[in-house]
Amino acid sequence: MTKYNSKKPFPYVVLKVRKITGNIFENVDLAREFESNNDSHKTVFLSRFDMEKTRQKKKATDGTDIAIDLQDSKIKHGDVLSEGILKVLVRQTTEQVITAQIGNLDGPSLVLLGHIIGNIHRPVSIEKGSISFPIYKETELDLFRSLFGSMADKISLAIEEKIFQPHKSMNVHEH
Amino acid sequence: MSHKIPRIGIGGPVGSGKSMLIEKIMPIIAGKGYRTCIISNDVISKEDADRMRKNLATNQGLLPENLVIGLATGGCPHTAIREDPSMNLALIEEIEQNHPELDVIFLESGGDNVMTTFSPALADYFIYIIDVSGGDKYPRKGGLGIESCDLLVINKTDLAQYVGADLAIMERDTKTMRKQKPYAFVNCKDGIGIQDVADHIIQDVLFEEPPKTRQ
Repeated sequence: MTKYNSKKPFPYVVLKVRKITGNIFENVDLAREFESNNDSHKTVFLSRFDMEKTRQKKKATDGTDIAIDLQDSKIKHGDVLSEGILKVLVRQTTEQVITAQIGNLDGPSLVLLGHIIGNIHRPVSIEKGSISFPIYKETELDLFRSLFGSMADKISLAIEEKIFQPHKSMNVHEH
Repeated sequence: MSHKIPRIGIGGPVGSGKSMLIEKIMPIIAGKGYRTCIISNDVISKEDADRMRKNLATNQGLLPENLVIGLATGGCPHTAIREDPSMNLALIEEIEQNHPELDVIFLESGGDNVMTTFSPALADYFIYIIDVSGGDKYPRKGGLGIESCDLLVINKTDLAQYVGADLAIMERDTKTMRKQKPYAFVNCKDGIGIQDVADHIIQDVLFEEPPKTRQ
């Protein structure tokens, strides 16, 4: 769709996408399509919070305005949205997280650790031997080290910049 | 299944001007032919909803009276828009079934800067409104409302000189905290900046599409 907008140079173009057609991490052919330089293939970066929205307008990496209207479908990192020949690859932005290596903790300590992180209202991602949760500032590393108390001596804490994808049932509200 | 109607959440501290902002942008939105509904969340009182109904529906005829709805959450309103938005979602589902002609739904809720965010399941677009009387330090203190909202509105600019708030400092800090995200300085009382807010809604939420009745 092409719209005239008094604040922007004419023609002001907004490309609208309404459906998810696949995911580049699950479809090799789709991934290859985005390796080629194609004008009808765009890429947008969304924050973790924006990934949960079904309607929003974002700028693609080439500056094109993309209007996303998916009704009830949820977007995942690597999803390809489409409308006609237009295809839009959605990539999630990275963010700072604390990753704690928890292999040395016993059962009760693990429960306590989970309680402390949950009590600060952070979503978590659990991988083999580690638990990760997002932070807003690097100074929070000291906060959590203090909250973990004596457990902090048994776990390794590190700040990473990465795509954070919370466990489905652990995607709580946060602040 | 009914078609999902775009939803705009407007949050902010008590007295910051949430209802007044809706009352000011509604004539612009309705004037372009868009059909709207307003849901006003509050703990017990429905005063804001009653006021908006009288002004916007009864007096100005911008929307039907039954589409200005006061929702008494019975608890902190921010919990009803974030942790458990089921009350609002149930109401919206009913509205979507009975009023498919609507173009946009406004959801209003009080809440401070640390606590207030709209669940993405509830609102497509989040406007957080503060006013200058909180002091010019407000934007640089950051927080969820300031940093995560889609549009930050700073209201009551006419009071800045009386409370010693430097608008230039507020704008500088807003740019720093929000990076590329938009903001608007407004004075709801005399309408300054309101068109800018309405433009953001029309462009970023309604995608500049014509009202459903004209499609």
